[in-house]
This record gives sequence, structure tokens and C-alpha cells, in this order.
Amino acid sequence: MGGGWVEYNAPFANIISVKLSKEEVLKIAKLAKLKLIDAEVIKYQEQLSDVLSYVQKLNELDTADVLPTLQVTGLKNVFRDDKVDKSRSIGSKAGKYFETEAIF
Amino acid sequence: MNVQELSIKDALVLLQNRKVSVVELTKAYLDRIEELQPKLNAFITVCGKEALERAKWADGMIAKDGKEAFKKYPLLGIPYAAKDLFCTKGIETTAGSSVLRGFIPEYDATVIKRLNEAGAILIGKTNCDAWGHGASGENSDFGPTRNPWDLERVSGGSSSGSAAAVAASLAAFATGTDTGGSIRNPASFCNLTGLKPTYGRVSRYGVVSFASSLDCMGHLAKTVEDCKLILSITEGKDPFDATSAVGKSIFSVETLHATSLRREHPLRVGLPREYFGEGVNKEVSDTVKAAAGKLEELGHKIEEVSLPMTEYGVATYYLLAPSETSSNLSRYDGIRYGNPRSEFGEEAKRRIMLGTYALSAGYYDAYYEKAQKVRTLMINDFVKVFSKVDVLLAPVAPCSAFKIGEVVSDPLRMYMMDVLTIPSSLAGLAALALPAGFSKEGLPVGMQLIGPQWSEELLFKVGKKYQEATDWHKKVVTTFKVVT
Repeated sequence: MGGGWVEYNAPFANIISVKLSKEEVLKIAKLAKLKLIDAEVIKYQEQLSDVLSYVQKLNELDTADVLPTLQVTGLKNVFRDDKVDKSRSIGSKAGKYFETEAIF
Repeated sequence: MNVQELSIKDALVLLQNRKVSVVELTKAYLDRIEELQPKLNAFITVCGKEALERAKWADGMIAKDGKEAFKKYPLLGIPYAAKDLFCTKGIETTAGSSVLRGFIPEYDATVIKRLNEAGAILIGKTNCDAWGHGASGENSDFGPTRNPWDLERVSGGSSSGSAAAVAASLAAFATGTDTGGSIRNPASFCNLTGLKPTYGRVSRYGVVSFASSLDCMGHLAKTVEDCKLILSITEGKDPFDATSAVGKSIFSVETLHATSLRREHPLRVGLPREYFGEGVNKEVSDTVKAAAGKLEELGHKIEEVSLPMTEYGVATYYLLAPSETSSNLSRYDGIRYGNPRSEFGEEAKRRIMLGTYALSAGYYDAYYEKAQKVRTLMINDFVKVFSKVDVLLAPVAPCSAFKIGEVVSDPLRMYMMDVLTIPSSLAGLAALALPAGFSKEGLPVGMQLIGPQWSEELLFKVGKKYQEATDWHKKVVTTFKVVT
């Protein structure tokens, strides 16, 4: 067996238990444009509640004076020079018009 | 010629000295795919016809220009596999999901384009957890990939097929993606060397997005040297990816790694105590500690360090990543391309819903923004540690490959599999996974070298030295059967 790790239990000592209602699950599914059957609603209700309970762990940390990290590159306003790059323009035989295949 | 014994560098030598033609080499890999694909399920699509045509072109180049051809095309004639998240023009790209079954991209991902332009030969698209969601390969809508070292076990995920393919020598190397550990985990389970580049080092253009602030485009191969060669082809600013950059970091550790490179022996290698603690299988822990001993023999200084925020990684990641994926997967409406959203698998639905909840009005501050703030704290952990050591050494996964079906029924337990790879992902750091030994049962145990952003050169330096002094990475599977 993969090294007896599977029995490890400690991380799951929950502080707060989050229990989503069926209605909440259905609302989330609607927002996410996912259709769920009854059996799925029950299953996800339990699984999502488990994960949301686990992530309450983050409340152990005081982040009042901490800035959020949105991305790790520090890049801002990634622009290119406003120069025309002819190699990227769509070829056109009709001068200033675009030519495409007929639809009808 | 036995392709099992070939690294990319070995293959290039054979091709340059005309010991074997590209067509012969490609056929050798294709024959192995035909034989082993039914056992491993490493591939979703095999493009043998296209590969042989490219092989003929490559042989033409060699016939015309001889060794000069290899200067122009550094990977000339080398067959590779691409994780099915990478768009390949004219070749089905499914992302491991039924939602994109039958989808044929109109363009190549930048990584694919660069590899092809370097003369490498795409041999097939590999199986993976759908959308990159997984740490075992069991969340693929095309069946799980089996570990070549023991067919009853997972090959790791989400780059499951890529790992199995390279480990079984079905390709000389394979592309992968690492968002929370998806290259390093299967590399560790399959005895391979896998690189998770610094975030932004390799273009994400044309790769199906999982979590946009975390996705890193990397690869798996048999040696550190091979990984270094592949990175030299795939890295670099791409005008099509606004998050790609050279040397850009949110925190000023650029100078730190530069100092490390200039430093003469000894390099300082830190072992984070939280990565060797209670939650990690003792055999794995001991194997990596033995590797640390080896590094010490080679002249490096080993010291224990602490990353106290480690325990918050999984909670942080499993709020940020599902949130970002719920947004990225909203484009799959089944109208413009692809199949309906009803085709999403269980894990995809789970993550989409988790993310939708965490981002919704009234919950955004408590969940998503909170996680973004903890991300800052986790990054600070690393900034502090990299002022004391040059590089970190740690296990990749808390255990070696587990049996198919053993963990997948409990999502939260599967999420814990990423505990040792998530923190470095959150910080966008460079990380190199490489073989460290084998368990009593004969299963590979991998370790990872983690460095500051843009420190890949340092990781390659340490890793190459380790591989010159050990031969774990040279071991190959001899018989493909169920072992335990």
C-alpha cells in the first residue's frame, strides 16, 4: 500500500462546521449553470460542506493588516508599443476591406 | 538501441552520429505505445501518422545539413508527448474531459509551437485528470492511467499520462502543467525528473486554463539535463500571454538567487521541518533525508529550516484554485464549441461549485479574499527562509503511489496529497522534482528542490550534481505487471 499515509487524520479536526442546505447547493448550481439530480445534490451537499468546514482553518490567522496577493509576477499594465505589426494583420485583397468566405 | 535507456541527450547523440534515423527512433516509440498503451492508458490520442511524416522531414534535414541541422533545431527528431491540456492544431484536445471530446483546436499552444519549431516530434496527447483537477489521474473522463511500476496503482496527477508515457519510454519527454503539484506529484510516483518553472517563465497561451494565477507550464523527462534543455526551448516572454515575463517577481528575491549562483561551495540546502513531520510517511521522509546526506557528501551545507505557514496551504489553495477554475470553466457553454456542461465530471462540478460559492456576494471577503491574504503570508514564509538558505529540499508527496480507488472516494483526503507542493505553487516559485530512491515495495520516491522565483539554473546545478552521484533516475521498469 502507498506507505500507510491514508490513515492520517489530524488535518480534519474542524473548528467550525459548515453545513450547506439543499437550497444553497441548488442556488450555487444555478449560478454555475450546472444541472444536478437529487442524488447529486445530497452528495455535493456533504462534500462541499466538508471542504468549507476544513477551510475555516484560515480563520486561525489574523490577516487584518495583510494585503491580498492577486498574482506573483508584480506585472502591471502589460502593453506593447503602439506600432503596426503588418505580420499580424489579416491579409486582404480588397484594399481597406476584409475578405472572407461566403456564408450563403 | 533500447529506447528505455535513452535520455533526450542520448538520443540526440545517436541521431547526430547517424546510428539511428529519426523514422527508426519514432517507430521504436510507436511500437512501444502499441504494446503498452492497453496496459497503461497513458494516451488519449496517438498521432502516429503525423509523427512519421515529421520524422521523415527531420531525416531530410539531417541528410541535408548533417550536424548543423541540430544547431538550428536543438530537439531535432525527438519524439514527445503533450498533456491533453495543450492545444495542438488539427489534433483532438480534450483536457481529459468529455466536455471537449471531439474538440479540434485551430492553433498550437505557444509551448507546442516552440517545441515543434525546435524539431521535436509530437507523438500523442496524454491522459490527465480532467481540467488538471486531481493528484492521481483518476479524475480523467477517459479512465485512469496506470503506474508503469505497478499497474494496480495510480501514476499520480494531474499529468498522469505524461508521467506514465515517459516512465515507460513511450516518448522521450512529455509536457505537463503544475498548478498545485501536477508535474511534481506524478514525477515522484513514476521515478522521473519534472520541472515546475517559475510562474510566468513559460507561456500559458493555448493551454486549457485551470487557475490562472497558479498554472505553470512544465515538463517531465528522465534527467535534469533533459529538463534544462527543454526549458531553454519553451521559456521566454510571449506577446500572447500577458503574464509571461522574464525575471519579474512580486518580491525582491531576484538578487538572492543571483547571489546563490555566484556563491562558491558550499550551497546552503534547507530542509523545512514541516515537510518531514507527522503527515508524511516515514519511509518517504527517511529516503529524502538520505538524499540530503548525499548532497552533504557532495559539499553542500544542510540545515533545518521552518515554514510555519505550511499547514494553511491546502485550505488556501482549495479556495483560490476552485474560484479561478469556476471562472475559467464558465466559457464551456456547449454552444460555440465543445459538449454541454452536463458532461462535466464529478470533480469538475465539485470545484466549480466550491469556487462559485467562495466568490459569491456575501462570501467573497470571508473566503476568496481571506485566502488571497493568507497567500501573502505563505509567500513571506519563503522570503524569510531564502535569506537563510539558497534552496530547499523536501519530499514531493506524503506517500508513494497508492492503489487505484484507494483515495479518490474522499475528495478532501485527495486534496491533502498536495500539501507539500501547494505552498511553492502559491508563491510562484521554481521547483524541480527528481528521483530519490525506492520504497521497500519497489515504488519510486521523489524529492523536490525548491528555489526562489527565476532560480531554475540553481536547481539544475544541484540536481545535476545529485544525478551524477546517484543512479535512481536510471532505473527503468523491466516487466509491466501487477506487483503488490
